[in-house]
Amino acid sequence: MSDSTVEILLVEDHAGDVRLTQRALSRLSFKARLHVAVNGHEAMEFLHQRGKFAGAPRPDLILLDLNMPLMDGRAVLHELDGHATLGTIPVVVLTTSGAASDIRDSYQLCTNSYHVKPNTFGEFVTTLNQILTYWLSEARTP
Amino acid sequence: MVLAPVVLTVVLTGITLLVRRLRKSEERFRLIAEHAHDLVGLHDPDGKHIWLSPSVERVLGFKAEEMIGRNAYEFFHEDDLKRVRDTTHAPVLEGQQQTTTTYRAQHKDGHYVWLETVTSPVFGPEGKVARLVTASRDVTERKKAQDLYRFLVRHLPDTSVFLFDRSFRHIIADGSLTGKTIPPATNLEGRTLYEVFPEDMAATLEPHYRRVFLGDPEVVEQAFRTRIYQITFLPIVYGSDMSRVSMGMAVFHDVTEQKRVVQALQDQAHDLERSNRDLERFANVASHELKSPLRRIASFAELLAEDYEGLLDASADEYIAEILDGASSLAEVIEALLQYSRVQTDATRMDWVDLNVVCGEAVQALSKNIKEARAVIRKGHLPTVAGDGVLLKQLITNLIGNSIKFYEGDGHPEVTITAFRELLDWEIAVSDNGPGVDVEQRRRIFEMFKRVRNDVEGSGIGLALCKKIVSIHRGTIWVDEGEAGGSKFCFRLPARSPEEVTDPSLPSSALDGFTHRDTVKPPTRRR
Repeated sequence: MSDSTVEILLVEDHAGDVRLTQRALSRLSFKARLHVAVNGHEAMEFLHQRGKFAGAPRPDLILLDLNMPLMDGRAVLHELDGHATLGTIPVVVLTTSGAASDIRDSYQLCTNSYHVKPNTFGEFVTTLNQILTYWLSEARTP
Repeated sequence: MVLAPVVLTVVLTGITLLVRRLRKSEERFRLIAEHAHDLVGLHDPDGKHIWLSPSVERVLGFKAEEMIGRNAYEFFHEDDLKRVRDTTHAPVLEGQQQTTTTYRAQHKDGHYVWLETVTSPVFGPEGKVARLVTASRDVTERKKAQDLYRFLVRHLPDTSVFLFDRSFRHIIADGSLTGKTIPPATNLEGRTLYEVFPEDMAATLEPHYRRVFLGDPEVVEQAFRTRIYQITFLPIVYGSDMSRVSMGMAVFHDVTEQKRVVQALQDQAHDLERSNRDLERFANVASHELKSPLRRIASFAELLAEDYEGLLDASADEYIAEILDGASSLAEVIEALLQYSRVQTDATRMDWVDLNVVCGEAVQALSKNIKEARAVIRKGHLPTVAGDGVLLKQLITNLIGNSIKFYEGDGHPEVTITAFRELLDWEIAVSDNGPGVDVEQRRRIFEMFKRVRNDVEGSGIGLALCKKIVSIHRGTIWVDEGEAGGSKFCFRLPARSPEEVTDPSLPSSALDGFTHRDTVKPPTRRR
């Protein structure tokens, strides 16, 4: 995996946050392609390669926001949890909420790790680096 | 013919026997009357004494001869005359078989004796009442006991007690309600349920009056008009026949006010709980909704600074710096709000907590600050209290931490934690040798974002959190002046079990700090 481009699906409704994630990623030394779904519904379309996402690659990692319109992150986790093929993709929750209930619920729905978005861009770059380093370079996934 | 003398003899013998029997019964009557303990009297229809048993001397001090020929009314208490005439004398003259009354008669030496008299008519040949027979008994002692009983029940708050017989006739009825929300004793006694109570009330009470005689006690709550009564029905086994219920007893207790107070308290508690929950939810949601855009403001300002620093003019760089500074302050406030709104507990975390252990953990958590400030922490023996260990640790850590943070002398901070028992509470004090808190600031410092000093860093949330934690434990917190100057932060926790601390029906020492700022307890006592 290390020598080919990794596919990351970012599920995030806010354009500003998408932009920040792109900027943060550009600072890091990962050969990664960032795909964006603006809500849970789009994320499922992407994963099932349906509609405008026909031909989309299977992501190596999903970065999932929790609070989104239409279909939120919890619903996505719910659908992925136990899914025969999609259930094995690592899902990292990346959200503003640090509420204990959100953290607990996410892990119950088999999220792989949970991160609160830091308040500054500098810290965000650090956090993203840690996530990607762990999931794309260190952890072994199916 | 032969039969005639026989018949005559038989008839004569019969008459003789009858006369003898009559004489015998007359003698018997006289014998009984002469030796009767009770006072037996024979009166003409107006009440004049014709004959009195010798026991009159024992009861009223007069010899029978002194009273015979005089009217009984001459001896009665003037307040009782009319009642005796109306309720005893008149009905008998009108044909009633027997009446009973209680009244006062004057003793020869001047004092009054309570008599209970049973009056019966003796009919003359024309069927008119020719004589009155009375049997009277001295009931002064019983009357005294009854007065004592009445005194007793009349002073029971919001209570009346009735005794009634099998025909639901009230034998005795008195209390602080009778004559107010329940008919007065004079109306009740001697009268039945249906004679004294309004029809609906009587109809409601009747099944209970009836059931008492089956032998089962009963407590019911019943509303009549605007009042709510708790009525206890008790079967009374009393007198010669111990095998059956001879009387029923009804204890009326007016619980209207209690009910109102309890209801009002419940409503209030419910409202408070809801408003606190709403506030917490509001604080939580608002903080999250604020955090997201704020993070973008800060992040893009950061990118702006990084990408364009030096490319814009000096003012632009300054403005960007101001944006970043403002965003950072706001982020702190939001974090504090979130922290405050998250301080809550659930019943499962309530347990016995040894404050000695908690204090040790707090000191451990502050070890870096303690070392840097060369602070000395002293601890007396602390109690084990019912509480949430995590929150109590936060409370004590905040208080000790404040003492260290605000110290401003040349020496080093000294903090002392002591505890003592004050009636139903534990009072824990954290005293220091710092600058103390001005009297006019003492209430305000427990409010959110009310910072006493600008030169010391902090979110302005620490003491608000302390207050909230103490409130969750149903305690109070305040600040006093320490013995050696400095400040002395005191908090009281109820000395209760963990279950009792979370029981909403038990009163707390204070209400929640977020909505009720004025409940901060002012110092009541100086040592």
